[in-house]
Amino acid sequence: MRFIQGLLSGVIPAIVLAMLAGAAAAQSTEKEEALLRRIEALDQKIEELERRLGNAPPSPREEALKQRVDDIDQQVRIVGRKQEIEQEAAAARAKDGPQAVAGRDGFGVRTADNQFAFRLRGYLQADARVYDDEAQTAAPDTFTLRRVRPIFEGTLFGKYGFRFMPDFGQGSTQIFDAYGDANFNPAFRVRVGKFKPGVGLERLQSATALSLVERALPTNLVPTRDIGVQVSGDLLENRLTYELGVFNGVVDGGQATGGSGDRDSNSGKDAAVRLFAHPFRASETPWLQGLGVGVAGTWGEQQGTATNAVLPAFVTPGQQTFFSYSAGAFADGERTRFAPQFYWYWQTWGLLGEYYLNNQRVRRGTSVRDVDVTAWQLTLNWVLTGEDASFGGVRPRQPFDPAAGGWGAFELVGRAQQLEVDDAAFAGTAATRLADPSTAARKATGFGLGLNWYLNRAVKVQAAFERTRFDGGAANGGDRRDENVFFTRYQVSF
Amino acid sequence: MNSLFRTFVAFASLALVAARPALGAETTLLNVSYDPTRELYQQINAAFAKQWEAKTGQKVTIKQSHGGSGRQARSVIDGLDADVVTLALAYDIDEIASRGKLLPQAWQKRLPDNSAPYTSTIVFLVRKGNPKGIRDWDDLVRKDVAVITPNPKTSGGARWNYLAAWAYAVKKFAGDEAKVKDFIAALYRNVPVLDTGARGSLTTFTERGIGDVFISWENEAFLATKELGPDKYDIVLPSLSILAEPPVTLVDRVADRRGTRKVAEAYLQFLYTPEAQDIIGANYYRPRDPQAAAKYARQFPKLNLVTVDGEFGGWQKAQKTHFLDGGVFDQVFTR
Repeated sequence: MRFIQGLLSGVIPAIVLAMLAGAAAAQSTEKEEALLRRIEALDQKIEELERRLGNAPPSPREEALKQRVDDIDQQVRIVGRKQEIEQEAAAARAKDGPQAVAGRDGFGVRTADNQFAFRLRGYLQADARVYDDEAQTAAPDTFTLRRVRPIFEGTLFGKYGFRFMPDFGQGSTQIFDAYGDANFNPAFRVRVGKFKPGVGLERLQSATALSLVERALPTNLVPTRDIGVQVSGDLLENRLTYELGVFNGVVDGGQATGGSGDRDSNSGKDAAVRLFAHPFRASETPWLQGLGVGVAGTWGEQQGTATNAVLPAFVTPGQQTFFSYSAGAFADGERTRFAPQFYWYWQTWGLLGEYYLNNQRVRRGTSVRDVDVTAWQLTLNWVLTGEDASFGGVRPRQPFDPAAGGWGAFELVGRAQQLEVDDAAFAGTAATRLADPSTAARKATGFGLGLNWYLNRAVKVQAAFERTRFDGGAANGGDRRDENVFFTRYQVSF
Repeated sequence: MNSLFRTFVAFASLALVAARPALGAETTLLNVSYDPTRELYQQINAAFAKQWEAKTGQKVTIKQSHGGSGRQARSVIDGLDADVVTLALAYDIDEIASRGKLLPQAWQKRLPDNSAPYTSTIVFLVRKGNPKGIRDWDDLVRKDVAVITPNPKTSGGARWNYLAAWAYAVKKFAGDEAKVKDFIAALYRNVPVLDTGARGSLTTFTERGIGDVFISWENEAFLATKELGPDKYDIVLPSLSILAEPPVTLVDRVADRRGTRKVAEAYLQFLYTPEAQDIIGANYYRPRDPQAAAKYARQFPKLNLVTVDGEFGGWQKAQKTHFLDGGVFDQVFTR
């Protein structure tokens, strides 16, 4: 009985429970399977729906929206493209239009292609001259505006240029340069008007680039400016420059002594020729590259009169006349100039040399003589601050600006020079000699020392001392007193 | 004085003679051309320079300037130093002759084929698959079509385009000028952007993606499909188009002043040589040389072409009627 009770209360319930559990498990598996089957069916439906959506043609609304988007896209592109075209057109107009320029080389306007340009440049030199009190001179110590020169330059149609430069210095108004150029090609250029004839090397150097304050004695023997026509060009890959011209034939010397006439006083004309070579320009030896050698000459007939002598006077560096022909003497025939010349520049050093031999037939009364005048100079430059010396001056590496550590460039200059007039000029009696030895010196010999300070490419300060000694030029066969002049110059150029 | 002047003249002449050889070692030419010829003349110039140096020992560099043909002509008249011009149409060179007085009026007779070493024509360039279904000029006046063509005031190609459209309209409307003008007005109303030259219009259509159809030089159309992808564009041939004869000539006064006449004349004559004609054909211009034309015949479809002389009485008349200020183009473009 107890066994049966145990069986009924233990085993049978367990069996029932197991059977129920098994049934439950079976039922759960079925549910899971059903659920899984349902999930699979739903997946299939979703995939079907997705396929239907993908293949479905867009609705009219969708079409309209897409078209609207495309239209807007096109309009945006069109606006952008129109802007691009307008910018291109503006750039083309700017390219073709005039451009204003301002800088080291002056001010002006030019077209983008440089076919037309107008430039305003110029320079101003304010000097002080202090003479040795013992000098035989009537000139007082003075401040002076040595040169006040606006420069108007231009280019027309690319190949035609012009330059107009008056001078308002020293209280006078004169036209120095007034010429037109036709630059057909680098080997053939034509210049017509008033300009520096191609003769003197230091004369051809710009007044803003002079080593000392005043030009040397030999420059007394070349014309400052003359009116005529000249052809010139650069040949042999810029190793040779030639200049050939025909001019009125002004007298030797500077503006003050007649070396820059605006009208000829006689029908005689001068032919001028100059050849200047840089034979080693392309050399692999650097110190030879800066060597330039040349020769220049003029020849012509000059006819003066007793009242219009057409003869030069020679001035010292202090601008005092130390030689002039006697009253009544005048040019009476052939005049020739012969001028070998050179310069050499290498790094901080520069050397310039000239020699002149001028011959002029001169008459006074019945006395007619061919008078030779010779002159030479050697000028040595040394740029203390390391910049390159050059014929065109010094370009400081650093402009003067103490705050930035820049002091500009400094250059030391030394010069020796001489000018000698043929004894033939002094031969004869007081009535027949061409020059009076008691007032006209036969020879002037000088030296000069100078210090140049280039504050920047536009401003230059110079200080120089020049001493000139004379043979003759004083009463009783004596020598004119030495001239000692201390110069300073403040120069602005652009 | 006389002997002095004689001496001076003698020296000056000697200097000039001495100077001339210094100029002969190397020379440059400027070819002022119309807009789409960049690739063509790049190849032509290289070939000519090689041939010239081999023949004469002289190096020649040919610089190019490209732009709308009318604008290029005006630049030359205003002083651009062109040794030769290779423009889109004879009228532009006529202007250089008459207004600029830089070459003789009878310039066109100096070289064969009216100084046109190659020809071209006008076709349509459309998007790949031609989604707007453009078949002929009529489709270009549909309101749903945007047309790309340059400005006839500046572009030579644009003037060919305009005249081709006009010729079609004349045929369509049997010469009714009012309807022809309406047709042209409708076409230009569909032009959203007017570039100054054909190359600009090509940029607008291809790179900027603007427009449905580009009225194009034939060579530009081929270039676009070849260079930018044959999967991007299709070429549609209209039922009627125009024979374009872009001419070339020497600019005498410039060449004489620069001393380049000999090499410039040789350059132009080179364009007619078999070597140059082959380059022309390879760049999708229609060569004049029969051999080159036969070689490239397959790439050029046959088209029904009218001519400026036959249809419009020549360029002088066409320019005066249609393209001068106040002409027909100005009238229809402002409608």
